[in-house]
Amino acid sequence: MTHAMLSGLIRMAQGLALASPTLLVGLLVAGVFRYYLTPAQLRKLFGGETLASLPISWLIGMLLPVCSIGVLPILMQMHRARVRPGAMTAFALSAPLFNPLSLLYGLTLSRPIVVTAFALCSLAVVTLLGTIWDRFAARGGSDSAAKEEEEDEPSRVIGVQRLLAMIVMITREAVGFTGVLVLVALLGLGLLGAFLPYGALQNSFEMDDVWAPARMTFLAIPIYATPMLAMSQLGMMFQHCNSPGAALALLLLGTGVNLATLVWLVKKYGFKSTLVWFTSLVLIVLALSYAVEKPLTLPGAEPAGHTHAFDGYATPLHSKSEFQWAIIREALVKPLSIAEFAAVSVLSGLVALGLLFRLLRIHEERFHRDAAQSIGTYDRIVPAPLLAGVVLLGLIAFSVVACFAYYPHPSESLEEIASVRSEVFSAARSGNAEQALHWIGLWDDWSRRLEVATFLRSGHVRPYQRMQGYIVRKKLELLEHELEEEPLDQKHVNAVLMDLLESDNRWRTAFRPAKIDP
Amino acid sequence: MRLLSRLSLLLFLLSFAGCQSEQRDSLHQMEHVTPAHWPNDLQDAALKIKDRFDHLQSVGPEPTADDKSKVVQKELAEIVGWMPEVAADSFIDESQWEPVNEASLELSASLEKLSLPIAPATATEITQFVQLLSKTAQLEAANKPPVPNGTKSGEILVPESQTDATNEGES
Repeated sequence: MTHAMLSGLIRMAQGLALASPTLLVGLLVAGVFRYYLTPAQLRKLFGGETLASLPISWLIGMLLPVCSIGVLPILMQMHRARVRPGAMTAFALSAPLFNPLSLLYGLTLSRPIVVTAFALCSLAVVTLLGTIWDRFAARGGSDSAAKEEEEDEPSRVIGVQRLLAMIVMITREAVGFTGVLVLVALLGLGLLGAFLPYGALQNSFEMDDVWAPARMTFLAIPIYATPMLAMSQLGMMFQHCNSPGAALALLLLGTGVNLATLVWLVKKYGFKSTLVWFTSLVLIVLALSYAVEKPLTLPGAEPAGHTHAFDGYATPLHSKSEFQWAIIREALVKPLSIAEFAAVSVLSGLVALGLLFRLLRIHEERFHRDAAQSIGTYDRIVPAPLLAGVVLLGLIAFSVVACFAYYPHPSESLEEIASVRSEVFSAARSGNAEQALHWIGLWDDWSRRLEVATFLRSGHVRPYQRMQGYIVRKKLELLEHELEEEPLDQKHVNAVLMDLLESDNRWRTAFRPAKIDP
Repeated sequence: MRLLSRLSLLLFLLSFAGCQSEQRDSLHQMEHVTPAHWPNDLQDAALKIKDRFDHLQSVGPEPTADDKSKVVQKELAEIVGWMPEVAADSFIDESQWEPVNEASLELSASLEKLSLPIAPATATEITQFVQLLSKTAQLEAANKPPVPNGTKSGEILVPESQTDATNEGES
């Protein structure tokens, strides 16, 4: 029992670390929507009452770097502003599915047609579901939002007071309803981690398994995955020739929704409406998953018979391993990237501030009221279209900058890979399997980022470059398997290293700067 | 309602019960399996394709049920499809790899529609592909780097990160 609880808690903590960066973005965007746009402006931003509202919401969702947890505070603001339910569902599903970073990453995972097909399938899902939801769900809204509707333009003042109102709102939300929903979302991961045995999902999603898409649809409901995590899992599925239908179901349901999405929908729209929404979603996902199963299967693909892609949803603790603080620390702290570590720290600060504000009964509305009443020296009246335009252009600019920062110039990627590679070789040669496995993951990740970086700057990746990347990753996985052997066979490890060394040399030659810009 | 939710959880967990009947000691228990007809190198690939082509040429238009022609036909298509990977994992450079890749893609498309007896156009395509592979294998032999003096077989030279970064900067 302790083992199950501990496993569940570890998975929840890992999920929280993963969610932190996108949750912060979600809280910030919710704050901007609440205090820098009127409900009418927000409705207009999402296409208003026009037919284009569904694709517009889908597109905005694609641009925003949020996950299915980060999207929740934004949805609350959209509901408050009485945005069309269909547009809300389009945004709620598309925002966590893709963002520019994950979409570019996705293009390196398989044939571009697969990721393009997945993106189009997501558009089909949000359009269908949005249309259904518009029929069944009642409009949201609140009294304060209705009052704001009556406010005139001069009251839209940007000032320190309004900024303070936004900050207080964000911190209070972090420990308020949004905070509760975050825990509900992570509960799904906790339950899976507590009850699924170690490595339980390794052969559940094979290409020729007719039940694979249905099984994934079932599994993906409690799953919470960030867009980048889902993309890397899809990558492993493609690499192991798992079921493409199951991969699509993972993307649409695992990334798109979580338990908290359902809880929030029930609270706002009632059980019946949510049941209609959820049943429609599951049926559409199932239909699409089975529809893409054959067309997206790679001709001549050789299934590997297993995948480690879903090990992260089963228990992290081996049943035979004893309770050790070092193992828990390893499971919690080691997988954190610098960005996640920074985000967790900022989130902790927000939570502390939020608790303080709640204890002192400081409410954001106090600052909001003051802002509406007084115009300070530095306050300026900003026209609504300008505000909306800045928000949208800012989003696009942020996405572009983020893409170039996350996928640095190929020469920089090659330098990173060079240092990661020497870590892998020295760890593997000295028999330090754990250390080597850690660096292998980074090497794999950088190999994909190198391809995206090349694509971003030259507009294409040559077939030879793609093939060399594929071969290096395949050999990295073989090395991974050799290192996981118990007991470790150093001779086999050395043989794989020799082979990898040659492939790595060809791969780097293919990407050297002289060849990037033909 | 509580019973229903418990039943749902039970069903959910049971659906994964077939995935694993017992705890594993290592995640490595299901390794990647290399197919028996995976070519060792380009020359081996040329031989394997030729063998299968010769077999298909020798059988009649309507093979019997126990005839292994279907298996041979499938293996032929698979080997041709693997050639871009096999060639890329050899000592040929990009300009030598591209013709193999293109020919493999074209021949794979033809083999998808293959019916026995093999049409003369497809037979010519296969023969030319075998010749291309043999020629590329010769180029590979010329490209192969010599084993450095003083390096024992199986000894690995650990790549230095500093050296590598300098190389990339220079080029």
